[in-house]
Parts: sequence; C-alpha cells; structure tokens
Amino acid sequence: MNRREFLKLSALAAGTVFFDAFDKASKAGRLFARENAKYDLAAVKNANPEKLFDEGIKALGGMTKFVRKGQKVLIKPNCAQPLGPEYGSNTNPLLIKRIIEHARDAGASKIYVTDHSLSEQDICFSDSGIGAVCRKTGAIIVPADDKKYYQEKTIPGAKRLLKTGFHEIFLEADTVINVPILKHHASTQLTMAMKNLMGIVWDRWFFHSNDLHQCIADLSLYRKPDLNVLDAYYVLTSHGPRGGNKSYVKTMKTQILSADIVATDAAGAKLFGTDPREIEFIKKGHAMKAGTMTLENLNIARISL
Amino acid sequence: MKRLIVFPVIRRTIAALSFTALLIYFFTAGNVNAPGLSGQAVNAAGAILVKTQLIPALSGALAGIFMSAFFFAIISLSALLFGRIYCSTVCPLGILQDLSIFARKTLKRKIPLIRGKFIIWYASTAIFIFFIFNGFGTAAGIMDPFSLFGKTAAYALRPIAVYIHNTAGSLFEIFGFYPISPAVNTSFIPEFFAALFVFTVLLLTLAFFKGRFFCNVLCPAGAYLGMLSRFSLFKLSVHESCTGCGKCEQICRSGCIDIKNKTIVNTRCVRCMDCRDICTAGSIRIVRLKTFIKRETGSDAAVVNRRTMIISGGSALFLAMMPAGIAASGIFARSKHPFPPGGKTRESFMAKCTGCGLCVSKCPTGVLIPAFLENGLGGFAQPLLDFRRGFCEYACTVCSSVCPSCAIMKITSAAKKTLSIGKAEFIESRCIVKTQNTACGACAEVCPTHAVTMIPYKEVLTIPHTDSQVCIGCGACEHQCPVRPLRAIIVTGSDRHTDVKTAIEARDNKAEEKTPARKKKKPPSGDFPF
Repeated sequence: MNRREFLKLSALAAGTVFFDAFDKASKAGRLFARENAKYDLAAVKNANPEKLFDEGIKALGGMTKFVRKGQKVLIKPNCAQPLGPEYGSNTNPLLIKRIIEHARDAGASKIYVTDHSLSEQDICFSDSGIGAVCRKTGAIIVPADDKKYYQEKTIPGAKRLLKTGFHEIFLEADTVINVPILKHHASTQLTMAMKNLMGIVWDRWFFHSNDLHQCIADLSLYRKPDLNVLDAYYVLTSHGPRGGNKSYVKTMKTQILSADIVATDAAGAKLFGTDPREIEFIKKGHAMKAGTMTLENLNIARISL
Repeated sequence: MKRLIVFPVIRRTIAALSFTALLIYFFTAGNVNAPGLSGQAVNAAGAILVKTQLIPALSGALAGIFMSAFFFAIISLSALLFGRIYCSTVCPLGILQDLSIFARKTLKRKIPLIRGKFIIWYASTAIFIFFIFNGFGTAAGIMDPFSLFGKTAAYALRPIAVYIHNTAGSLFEIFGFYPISPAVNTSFIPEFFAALFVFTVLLLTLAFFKGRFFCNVLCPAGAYLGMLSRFSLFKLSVHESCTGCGKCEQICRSGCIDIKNKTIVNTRCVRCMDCRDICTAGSIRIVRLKTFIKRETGSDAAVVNRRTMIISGGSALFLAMMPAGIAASGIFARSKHPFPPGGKTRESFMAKCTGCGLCVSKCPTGVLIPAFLENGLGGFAQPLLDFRRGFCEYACTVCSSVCPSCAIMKITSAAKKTLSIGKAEFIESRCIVKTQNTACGACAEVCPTHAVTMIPYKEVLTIPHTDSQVCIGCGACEHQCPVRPLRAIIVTGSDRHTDVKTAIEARDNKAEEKTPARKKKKPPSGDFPF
C-alpha cells in the first residue's frame, strides 16, 4: 500500500469514528445543549405555567436543544396523589400540556408520561387533570403499578442505593424531561427534582429504610434527566407532600428550568425560603457530583414577566 | 294454533345478557371516577342487577331500603304470576349450572326425576331463615345462590380474567404501546381460589348429572319461589293429548316431569320452557289456576304434610342451637381488622354480609380481602381491610355503592372523609428513625387527615406522632411503612364506625390560630432569592 492509499484509509477510519461519536452525542442531545446554551438555569415568574415554560425554554436555547426529531420522550410529572393543581401537590397539568406541545413541535415521535403514584394511578391521573391533558395531546400514559415494568440496574458510584428497579420507559426513552413540583415534604423537608425521580422506581420502601437522603442522591447518578422543569406555580408550603387544603398553598407563579438536577433543587429550596445546605439530599448530591448546588457559579437567566 | 317458540328465545337472551353483565360487573374494578360514559353505564347496570337478586333484596329490605323491598316484591310477584321464571332467567348460579346442562344435552340422556328430598330442601330453607334472621350473614351466604355465584366470580373467575387481560396487555407492550392498563389481581387469594375452583367443579358436575339439583334440593331461594309457584296464576301442565314419547322428560333440567303419571312438579319447575318447545304434540300447556288452593295430584301433595312436620321440628332444634351458634361464631377470631366503611357496626355488618365478594372485586386499592378465620367462624368470607395489601382510599365509596345486601350502607364521599373505621398506633421501638437514625416519614407522607405528623426528634431528624382523634383508620400509614416484618404503625379496627368531622375541624381551627404568620410570610426580597 502506498502513502495515498494509507491516507485515504486513515481518513475513512477517522471519519467513521468521528461520525459515530457525533451521531451518539447528537442523539443524546447533550452536545448541542452544552455548547450553545447561554444559561445553565432559567428562573421565570409572573405568568401562567405555559407562558413561564415558553420563556424559560427560550432562555435555555429552545426545546430543540433537548428534543431531537424522531425521539421517544418521557415526561415525568409529580402525580402521586388524587388532587387537582390548586392543592399544590401534583404538577400543574397546563405545564405538562405545554411541554408535550413543545416536544411535538421539536419532532418527538412518541411522548410518554408516567408516575408510580401513591394512590391508584387512574384516580391520580384523572383527579390531577394530567390524564385528560395526555389524552387530548396524544401522549401515552404508561402504567407503573406493576413490578413487571421495572428492570433492576446497578448504580455505579452509589453509596446505599447500590441497585434498584427502574421503569423500562425511563431506561428506553431518548429524552427524559423531569417535571416536579416544589412543595413541603414530611420525610425530607422539601421535594423537588431529585426526589421526583422516586416515581420511576419500583421499591420506594428500600429508600425509606436505608437512609432516605443518601438513596435520593444515589438515584440521580444513574441517568440524569435531560431537562428539569420545577413547577412553582402553586406551592404547598406545609403538610406536604399530600396537603389537601388550599389554605396551605401559596401562589408563587414561578418556574425553574435547568439540565442540572442539583442546581434545580438548590434554586427551588431558596425560592421556598430554605437554605439548600439544610437539605441533606442536596448536599449529598452535590458531594457526589450529580450536579452543583453552588448557584453563584452558574449563568442564571432571571426573567420577571 | 302456532306454537310460540318465542319463550325459550326470550328467556335465553335475557339469561345470557344478565349473566354476562353480572360477570363483567364482577370483573371490572370500581373507580371513584368511573372512566367515561361506558364505564358509568356498566356500573349503573351492574348496580341494579345485583339489587334484583332475591336474597340480597331480602337483606336490603330487612335493612329498610325501599328499593330492595320493591325488588323483593317484584320477584315474589313474578313467582305468583308465572312460577319460578327467576330461577331460569335472573339467578346467575342457575345460569351457570345451565352451561353444564347444555353440555350434557349432547349425551341425549335424561336427567333423572328428582324424587322426594323435600325434607332436605325445607330443612335447608329453615336453617337459612334462621341464619338470616339471627344475624349469621356468612352462614346465609353459603346457601344463597347469588353469594355462591359471587364468590365464584370474585375468587375463581376474576383472577383468571385479570390474568388474561394483563397478558393481552403485555402483547401490545412488546411493540411499545400501552393501551391496556394492567389490573392488579386484587381478588386472588390462593385458599379461596382453590376452594371456589373445587366448588365450581363440583357444582358443574352435579348439574351435568342431575340438572338443577342444587336449585331443587338445597336452594332456599328456590324453596321460597317454589312455594309461591304452587299458587301461581300460570302453570305448566301435561295435556291429555300427550303421546308419552318422553322427549320433554328427557330435556327437563329440573327433573320435574314424570311422564308416566303425566305430572309436572310446579314447585321444581324453573320455567325454562324447553319441554313446551320440544313437544311435537303440543301437549305441554300453560294453564291458568282455576281455584286458589287446589289439591293437585302427584308429588306436590306429598309436600304439605311433611313440610309442616319438618319446619316445626326443625325450628325447635335450631332455637336450641342458638346460644351454641352464637358462641361458636366467635371461635378463632384473631386480630381486629376494620370492616368496610359504611358497615356502621361490626354486629350489623356481619349480620347482613353474605360474603358475595363484590366489594372485594371492585375495591380499587385491593385492601379488601375475604376473611378466613380472622373474624371467627361467623366472619368467614366476609371482607376485612388488610393494610399489607392496600389502604382505604380517602374519597372512595365504591364498596358502599355496590353492596347488594346493604351490609355496607351507601355513604357520600364527604361523609367518608371523616368516617373513622379504626385508629392508628405508632410503635416507636420499630421505627426507622429510632433504629437507624435516618430520615423516614413515609407514614406522615400519605396521611389524608394529617393525624400522623412529623415532630422534632433529635438533631435534624423528625419522628412520627399520631393524633388519634382525627385518625380515620384508612391504613395508608401502615401500608407505606417500610419496616418488616412487623410495621412501626398499625391500625386497629373499631367495632363501631364514628364521625370525626368535629375533631378535625377543631384541630384545623386551632392550627389556624397558632400559625397565621405562615400565610403572611414575607417573600424573599428582590425578584429571585438567588
């Protein structure tokens, strides 16, 4: 073989390797997200949940940074209780609707919505209004109340949650959009993005009996959601996570968006009026590098409408 | 005159429809918000169907429900007019046996004439009357055909249907679709599945060889309707034009046609009209009762003297058994589980509940299961709440809406939310927070009335605290508690359900006074606190 042929062969090999890496990274969406995003975190307030999301996602570079054409998207709301949005317990269905619409516009082929609810899934989805929104927009509600849907995976780097059963849709989706609600919580003081992931595992009871805060932090290590959208429109300020009385709810009309799950929670805690350093799972998540709680290091878009 | 073949066709259609509707009603789970119009239609149809069953209607009538008394009267009237058409059209246990009898028809062998056995039939009825009027619901439920069918549908057939349903769903899921939400097999209890499976096999075998034997020798509903049938306005009778070919005798499922003597025992005839259909000579005729009390020839007459004898003798015997019976019913009673909300008092609930299994079938969380011996012998097969399997959903009133015998009286969703069926007790020595010094609070997370709250423990940890005054005993706390094998918070059932609305309101008002500052909390200064 002469030099030219050798060069051609090398170029072909390099091109294949590069193309493969490019293809994988672009599918994951992360390549473009990190590169072009001006902001790491967007905080928006004073509008309805749909408008808040419109502005927030624009600040982060647009939905196409997170959802690419033909992808399977999982939207994970907090839908654990049979309560409507004004009770501040479940994610606002209007926000879920807007995210589904954006995902469709960005070219998603299939949109799934699920949560391993505390009450029967049917009644949680119907009473929260999220079920109706899904049916109207054609999003697929995935059943979660059966062990058969969960596959056990080992979590590298975990300290207590060494392995757990993840919902197959969380494992298979190309893009995961985590849409928690900001609220008070009896077990952990607050619940936001990191704790919302407990809705895609089967065995919650293990978390509670094996250092709950550590398990929540470990959980964020396995697969970080591509985008976290923290609903702080109706905020349950006490008696969480269930609430059940509208007098416990404060209308804050705010939303926090970020690809960094720990940063989302740190910002959410501050918004609630709590020092994030008081929330153990945030500290542990930061220590394990699931994200950062040092908001001063981030580019934050602060949008007041 | 052209023979009307309409009767069997109408009868079979109604029988098939009502049987299928009842099965579907048992198979579909109840839902607080019935899904869509079709779900509501099924639930409405099913709710009426179960109330048109004879023994449940009697039970409801005794409880003072007008609708039940109305249906009981209608069914009785139908027997007084047409004889035991109920038994071949409405009764699901009858239709279940008919499936076996239908299979038998291929054999072309006669179902033997049921001779005598009136002693057993009326003794059985006397026992049943004793049970139902003396508060032994569960014993009555072992003789009531609807409850037997219900148990079969709930504990033997439903688990199979759910399995098929979920498997079908799995097939779709292979391709990434999730059109079928899997049902949780909440009514699968191995002992009951086995027992009912065996019962069904025995019943179908009995029906295969002896036709409607159960209906004519054991069933109290059949005995009652049979007694009314003696005086029914329209009866079936063999006309003298009969050629004695015996085709009617061969096809009769009740074994009530004696073609040698050309008689039909009307107390046993379930009016399936097959005999009239098959008679080529048109000799099976519908005749009108000429005199009110007519002394008929044949087996019917033999009944009268014996009946009086048996009932009086039997009653004496059973009255003597009463104290022993009441004592025996409590044997083997173990822990106190709650009974379904709407049952009012344990005594009244256990008296009326025949253990038909409908509430267990429809309970959305699967917390209801039939008791084995937890409530004593007298509570066998009656539902109890087992919080290892589920919990009582806060606003749910499904069981109270479907109960055919009004053992679980209908309650509104608002009343349900303040109805206490038991009380939770926290056992600190077992709690994770104490034994492991890590955060938990799973119990407080799910408490709908905030009877369980987290209070400061040590350092940053909080530990559960229960306020039993506002506890409604729903068991969500016990269900979520991760401690095994014995949980750190346990709910004990009350013998009498109480309303805790005033206690909850008092607690909420007091809380308002204490922390008004929370609502008026000043938002952090500036647009965003970061």
